[in-house]
Amino acid sequence: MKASSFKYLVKEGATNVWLNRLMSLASVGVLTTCLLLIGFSLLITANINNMVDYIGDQNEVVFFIKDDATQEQIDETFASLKNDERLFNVVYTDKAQALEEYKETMGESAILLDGLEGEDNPCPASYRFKVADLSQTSAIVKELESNPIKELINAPTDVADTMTNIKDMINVFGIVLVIVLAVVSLVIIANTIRATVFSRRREINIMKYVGATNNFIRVPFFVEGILIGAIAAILAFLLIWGGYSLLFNYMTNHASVWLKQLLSSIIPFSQIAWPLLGCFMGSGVIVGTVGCTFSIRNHLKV
Amino acid sequence: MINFKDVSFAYGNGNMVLKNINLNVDAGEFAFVVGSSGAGKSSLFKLILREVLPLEGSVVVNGYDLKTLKKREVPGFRRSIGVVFQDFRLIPSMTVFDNVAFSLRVTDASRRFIRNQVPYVLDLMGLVHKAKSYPNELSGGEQQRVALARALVNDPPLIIADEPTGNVDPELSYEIVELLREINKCGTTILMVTHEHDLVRYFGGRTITVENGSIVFDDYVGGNHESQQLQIPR
Ligand SMILES: Nc1ncnc2c1ncn2[C@@H]1O[C@H](COP(=O)(O)OP(=O)(O)O)[C@@H](O)[C@H]1O
Ligand SMILES: [Mg+2]
Repeated sequence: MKASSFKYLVKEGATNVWLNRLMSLASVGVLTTCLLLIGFSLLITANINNMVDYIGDQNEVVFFIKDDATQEQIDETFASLKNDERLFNVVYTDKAQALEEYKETMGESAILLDGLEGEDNPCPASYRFKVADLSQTSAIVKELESNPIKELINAPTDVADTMTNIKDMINVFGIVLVIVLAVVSLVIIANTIRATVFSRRREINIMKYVGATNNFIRVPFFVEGILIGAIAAILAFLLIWGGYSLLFNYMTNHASVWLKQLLSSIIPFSQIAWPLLGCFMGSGVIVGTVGCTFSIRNHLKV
Repeated sequence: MINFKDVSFAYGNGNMVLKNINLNVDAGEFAFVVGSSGAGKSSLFKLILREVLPLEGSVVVNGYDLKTLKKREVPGFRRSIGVVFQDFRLIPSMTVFDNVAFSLRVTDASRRFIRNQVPYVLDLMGLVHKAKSYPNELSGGEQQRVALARALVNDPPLIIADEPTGNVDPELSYEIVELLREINKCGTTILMVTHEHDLVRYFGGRTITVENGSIVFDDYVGGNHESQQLQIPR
């Protein structure tokens, strides 16, 4: 096929979107709705995940060190904790610092603690750290239980387990929802495209009689598919952008203090805008073209 | 040009539609195919276009043996035939110009050639002033002339027409056949299917009669307009 012919066919495809505007509108509508539903499900899942992570991150594990531990033992365990890739924000607090911190929390009454420095210091030294993957908290605590300098480990294992469960549930629910939506969308889209092509089967038939090759007939439909997919993707993107921002504003303006804290963990739209647009464009265009190619096939047999 | 040898044909349901057809149309001929409705004329037409393949026998058209013709060679083969249908089969979303240009575009013709050739053929059909119209803005006779222009535009050696006058006002039917005869005078082979005996009687020429799936008559008949010098009815 010559370049000038190709140009003509691309123009034909673009013109056809307008000429068959009722069908185009139906296709764009269906595709946009599907992308919107899937997009919102993904966003909500991602955000809840993020919030659960955020809540989980508020929980520290505290490892209190026996008073008779040698400096060498303390350094050794500290080093091994620091090197552990599952942990982060590992901090060591020695006895003197612990006393200071304790005094700070006592405020006025801190005078009571005067004179307890040095030998008589009752505050234990400790390590504090956070666990990257909350679901591993129990296992990590278990490993540390056998450490000889361990006095006591204070870990939010219950919180961790709950958070992990919530996250798993949300993820499974989110994935199932997205898959169901995707399948339903594909069925609806396939039917819409089939109706579009069916309404123009005569045209395809005529083209075959005049000696058009299959590719010659396909290219305009292909271009139509791409265009409709792209239009739907952009529409869905803009709608999600608007909806997300509105929701975000509403929540920040009407939330309690605690919720506000939580809202700070909401993924800002700017951060997901490009990947989202990319995914929408990709799936819109793929669905449009693949759909056209498949539904046109039957009519090309004449 | 067209050669049928011992051809029989049936649709999926198995009823024999054409039986033992032997037919030869030479280059430059003008032939009518007549017969009552359901005789098998359109099926013959579909065989020539390779829309269907014969059950038995061989069909050779424009030097293409249709039995051995590969799928991807079909478009090229069809470009060597101009086709005209009873129901015009114009693309409703395209202007007259684009409908005619379409059969050039499928051949990868240059834009320059299309710009020259399409108006030339429209002029032959007396349609230059309708170039920008859409098919639904034209009368039946005009639409059929557009279809003729489309069949003619890439100068095929063979034009076949299936009841081209079927949806055209009777007085305009003569005009359509007259145009086909003009085209034939320039060397194009023409096969025209019709069930309007008046037309055949008027023009005369080679007449192939199909009855019940068989060719029952194939000979030259004299036309009225040659013997009596009748004017074409207006
Ligand atoms: N697509 C088809 N499937 C099955 N039978 C068909 C089909 N087209 C035509 N026929 C049958 O084949 C016979 C010949 O039809 P056709 O060739 O259209 O006749 P004509 O054009 O002479 O009127 C008829 O009996 C008709 O019912
Ligand atoms: Mg017929």
